[in-house]
Amino acid sequence: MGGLLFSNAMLLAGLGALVGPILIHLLLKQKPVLLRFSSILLLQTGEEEATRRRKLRNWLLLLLRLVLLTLLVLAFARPYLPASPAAQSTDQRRQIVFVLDRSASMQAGDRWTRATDWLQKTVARLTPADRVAIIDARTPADILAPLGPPDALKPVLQKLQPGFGTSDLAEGVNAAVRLLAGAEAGGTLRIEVISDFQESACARLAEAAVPKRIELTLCPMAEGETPNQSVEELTSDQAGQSVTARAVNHSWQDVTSSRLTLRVDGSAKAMTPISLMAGMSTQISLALPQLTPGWHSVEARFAVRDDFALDDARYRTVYVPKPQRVLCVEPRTDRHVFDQETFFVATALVPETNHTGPYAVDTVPPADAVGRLATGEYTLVVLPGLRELPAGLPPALSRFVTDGGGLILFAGEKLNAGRYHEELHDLLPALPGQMEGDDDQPEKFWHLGHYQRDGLIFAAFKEQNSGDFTLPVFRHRFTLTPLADSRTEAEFNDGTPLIISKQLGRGRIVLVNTSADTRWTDWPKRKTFLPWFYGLATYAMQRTGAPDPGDNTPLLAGSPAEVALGAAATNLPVQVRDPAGQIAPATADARGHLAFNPEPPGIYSIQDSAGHELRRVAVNLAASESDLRPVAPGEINITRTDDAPPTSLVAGMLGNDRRELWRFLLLAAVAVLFLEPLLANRSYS
Amino acid sequence: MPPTETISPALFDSLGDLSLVAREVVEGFLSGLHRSPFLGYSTEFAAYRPYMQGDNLRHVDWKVWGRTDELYVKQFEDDTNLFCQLFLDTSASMNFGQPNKFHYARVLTAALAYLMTRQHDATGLVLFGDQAVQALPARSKADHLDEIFSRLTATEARGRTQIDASLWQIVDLFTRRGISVVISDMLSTGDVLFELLRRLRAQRQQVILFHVLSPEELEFKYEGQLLVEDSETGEKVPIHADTFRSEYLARLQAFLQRAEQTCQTLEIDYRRLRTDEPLDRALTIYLEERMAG
Repeated sequence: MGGLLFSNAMLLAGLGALVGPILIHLLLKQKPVLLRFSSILLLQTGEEEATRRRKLRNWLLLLLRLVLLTLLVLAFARPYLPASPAAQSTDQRRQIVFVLDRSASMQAGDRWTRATDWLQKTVARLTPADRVAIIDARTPADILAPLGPPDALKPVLQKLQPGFGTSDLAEGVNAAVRLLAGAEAGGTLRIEVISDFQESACARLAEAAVPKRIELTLCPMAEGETPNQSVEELTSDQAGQSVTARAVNHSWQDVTSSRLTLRVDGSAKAMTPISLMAGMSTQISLALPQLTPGWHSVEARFAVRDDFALDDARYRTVYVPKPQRVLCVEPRTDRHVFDQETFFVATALVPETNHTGPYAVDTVPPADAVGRLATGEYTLVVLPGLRELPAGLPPALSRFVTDGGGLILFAGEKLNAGRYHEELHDLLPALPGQMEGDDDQPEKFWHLGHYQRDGLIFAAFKEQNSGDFTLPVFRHRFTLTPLADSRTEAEFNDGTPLIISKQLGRGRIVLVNTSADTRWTDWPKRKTFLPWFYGLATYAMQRTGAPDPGDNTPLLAGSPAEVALGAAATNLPVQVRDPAGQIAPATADARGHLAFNPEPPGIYSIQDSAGHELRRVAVNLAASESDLRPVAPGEINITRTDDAPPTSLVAGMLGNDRRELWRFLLLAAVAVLFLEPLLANRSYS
Repeated sequence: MPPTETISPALFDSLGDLSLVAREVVEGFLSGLHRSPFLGYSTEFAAYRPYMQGDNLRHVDWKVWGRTDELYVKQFEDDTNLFCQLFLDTSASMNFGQPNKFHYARVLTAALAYLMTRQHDATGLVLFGDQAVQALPARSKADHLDEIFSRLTATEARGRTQIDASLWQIVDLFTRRGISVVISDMLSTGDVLFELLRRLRAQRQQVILFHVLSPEELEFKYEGQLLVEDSETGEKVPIHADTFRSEYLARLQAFLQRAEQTCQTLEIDYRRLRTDEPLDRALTIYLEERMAG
């Protein structure tokens, strides 16, 4: 049995069934019944011998049946004799390149163990004159060990570990052909492809070309059905309030009474029961809890017991930005809050007191505004029309805007046009003139006219019928004289500017030609006010409104990745903490990007040298790795060059390279099957 | 239907009073034979013959003398008494079967003895088996029948078939011609039973062999693995009944043929009896032989 190998060694467990016939034989063995007979005169001669013959026949029958069972079990285990070194010509050395599939799916079941066993047994049978190499069939193919003596390959084999990425067998085969093309002349050239032959790995195999002079052996490591269930997708909505997971059952058996667990930052936050029919998938949406600003890890895990645990969970990261600090300058801080001039705009930005939203509003009297601005914490200032500007406020606002802040100026009955001209001249996109409108003429008012539909200010109203702007009424306004560098964002129905803006330094100023409260307009009472002001604040702060970079597409395990860390990380030394907590140093490039190779799936944290987290990324298996079904051997075609027609190689090459014994075993079993009834039915006449 | 069938062979085992059983068997048998040629054996007139000197004057027919003036003597059938011997095998092999062979043979012996005595034949009994040979000499007295019944009742079938010189001595004493009825299963090692038959023939005996066998022996309807114990020797033989049945039946057939041929050679009337069939046939056979004698 030394050189005997089995394709389906697991089936040898069927030899345990040999106990069955033995037990049946022993249990059914008859105890003789004592019979007192008149005389044994007619019974004596030859019967003892017949009994002995019968016993012998029964043991022979048992033996035959055991042999039959053993032959069948061995036949199903597919024994074979690999080509023995002795059978080969001693002066003909072999040059073998192993194309090894190290994709994540090779970790399913015992595939990797079988692959390494195959490698080690094959290498062990080689002679020192042989040459052997090993190639990782990834994209691009990676030569793990160049052609060399078998002993040189053994240390590589000892360190060999399965990967987490995908594989492309065509890349591996082509690389092996190139390697053998540069090999020394003479001897046998052979490529052995060791893989589970997943469909994704074989997708381009038909494009591979192997010269006819090179033997090709396909060594399938997948055996039968490998049950697998996976989470193949995990997405989050734009608002970051929920995630949707897609669970797939790749098995031929239904999954019942399982569950999908949502973990946020390691803590279980939601759980839902899940049942999946064989071959089906389902999408499950789960609400995310209220998240604090910063990075968060989300994991959706399918509680199943299958042969491939790597894809039972899927990961995602969510980034919750810190709220933008808004300073509302309120001239009537001594009034009830709902009587304050900035009440509506402040409420629009922070609708609920305890709500953690994108904005945090501080309302201060004009006298305190300068001090607050000096803190540098604010990104937006809302300034209603003031009769007098506190000393120091204009230059403070100018510095604030120049440094990148946003400033929203409202008009109002208190606005002193002269003082605004004098003190805020640099900040104003337009010069206010006379106040228009008469309370005694209620029939005189204006509506919103033309506005920039594609801009951020009215972004919420891009869709048809998403807001009725004929309803807000404007009863007072200033005449405005736009300055040269200003931009009109919206106009009254008579063409007078309603919203006009200008850039100053890195910041932006927006002048709204109406009051911030309801004295000049009823717009704050309309449904369109809140989304409009939200857009206005976004515009003033010059935010693009695009999704946060934290809400990015997860990376693929086993594939090179590049992560943008921002301009601040240019050439920055960083460290990458993998899901196991191992830290690896790295350096961002000149663009502030970090390139690294994530291996096991999970959450990776990129930190600066002080340990502050710059970015958190999720790494998942490629979804194609979850479908563990191998391609049928008959469907694998590799082109043989040198004018040889394309040939399906699996059956042929397997048969040529090793001596399959199952046919002989089956023939022997059939022979025993015919012999058994002959012996069983033999009578003593 | 002969009335003897009112007593089933199966009941022989349970009937304790052998004389009653024998009487019931024979009387029932005879009452069914009212047209039988066997009637008239008693004191029935048979023929006249001229008076000869020495004839008993009681037998002279005086009416004929008165009419014809000649002396004629009446001749009767029962003038010739028969010498009958019953040989019963009492070896252990007879104690087998359902109905039991020995019980069957014992009732047959008793019935024959009763029938013989009723016909005024001298009846003797010889028991041979493991025990010493027991013999009752042939007599025709009525109280002799009781002795036969008593001896039969006290006899059990046991031990081996042992025939020795004592039996030959008894046989050698048979100087008168007569009928010897041998009742046996013939299952013994060697040819001692055939030797008995030969000796009886040598003593000018008309021999009837009733070869008694049970249905079990004739059909061997056993199944499975058996350990067969010889009732005489205690020897055990393992056999598989299903596979050995055909072999056994073939051997039995050869055994029966040999017995039959031997009897044919010795001019012995060989009759095979199954213990599950009525005794009528045996009694009929005897009477036929009696008439022939």
